[in-house]
Amino acid sequence: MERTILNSAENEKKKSQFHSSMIIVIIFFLTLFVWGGMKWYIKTLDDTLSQLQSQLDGVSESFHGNRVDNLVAFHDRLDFMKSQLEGPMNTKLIDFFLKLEKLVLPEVRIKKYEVNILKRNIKVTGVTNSFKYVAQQMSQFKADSFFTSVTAGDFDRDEVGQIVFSFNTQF
Amino acid sequence: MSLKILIFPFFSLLTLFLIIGFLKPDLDIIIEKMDTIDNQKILVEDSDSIVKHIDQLTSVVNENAESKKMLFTYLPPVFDHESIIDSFNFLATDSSLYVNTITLKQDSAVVMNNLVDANASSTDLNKSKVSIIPFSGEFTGSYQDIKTFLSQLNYTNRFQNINSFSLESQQKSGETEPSNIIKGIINIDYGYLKDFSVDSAVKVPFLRDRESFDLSPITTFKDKMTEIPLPVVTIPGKENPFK
Repeated sequence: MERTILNSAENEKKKSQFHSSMIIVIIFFLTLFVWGGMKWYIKTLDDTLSQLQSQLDGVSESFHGNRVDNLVAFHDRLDFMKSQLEGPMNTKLIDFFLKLEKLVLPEVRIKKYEVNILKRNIKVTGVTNSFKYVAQQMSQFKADSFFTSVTAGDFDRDEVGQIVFSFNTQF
Repeated sequence: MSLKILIFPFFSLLTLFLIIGFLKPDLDIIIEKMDTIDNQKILVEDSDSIVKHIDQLTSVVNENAESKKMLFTYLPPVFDHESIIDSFNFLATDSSLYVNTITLKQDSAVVMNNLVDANASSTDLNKSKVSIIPFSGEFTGSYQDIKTFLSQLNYTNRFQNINSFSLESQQKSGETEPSNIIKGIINIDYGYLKDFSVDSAVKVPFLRDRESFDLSPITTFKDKMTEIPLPVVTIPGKENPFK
């Protein structure tokens, strides 16, 4: 009785081993089959690619040369012109003169006028005979909406006793 | 009997080797090729429209020869020193100014990279860079003449960025009264755009979707150039702040 049970357990084990072996063999062949299929698919893709490439080659002659170069040159210049016209560097220089003429007091004489359009900064150096006019001159610039800030610079007296002053403004 | 036991590990290893060594690399190749095919298909679909657009845009350019000339004057393909010097000197002498010095730094050409539009990712368009030549001019003359000169300078038919300018009254040593002579210095960036050869129109985004050029910037520029150059307005204030 005991022997029969042992034999039957051994048979079960052998059966299970056989099944596992069969399954792995089937999986192996399946994998092999899939790989073969993939190789075939790669070949099909290569054919499609070469077909598309030959189609592209047919029109590629018109894709370069003087005509395309000229168009790109035209387009790039046009785009650049557009960006420049819309850009901040379009300030008219006459405006800086008109501002100065409008804001400078009769008692003040400008010695130096430095406009940096890139940094949006102006440095004004002037000469006058009283600090009262220096203050008035600065407040003239401060009151103008064109300027965002006015900061005092140097104050000094020249050889004839006149006050040489400077201030910086942002616009 | 012992051979039968080896079947499972042998085929397991073989299957694993097949998957790692061949299946996976081939799968990667398939994915890559499928991507390429998708791109190529788009290119083929686009190619007809690109060819059509090239023809249409070429005829637009040919019909607007004057605009083309204006654009190539605005941004020439080579930097022409002589025309810059000549036009600066002409404008200055025309405004009764005396040109002291002119400095043009050919070697310090820098690149202005604002040409490539946001959609352009092609290498071709990245070549489109404007080279900048810094220019500096020093001149002397009366306040009114300098005002006239600098106002006219805004109406040059080529690209320029006026970076800065300064005016300084000239006072001879020993003299207490200010002289009427003012020294001016102006710094301008001029530019040019070198021509280059495009590898393929496929890499140029605008050729895919544009059937015509928007020439409005040229019209705007033309209008700007034909404005009355000097608004000789005298506003209340000091006519010559340097006096």
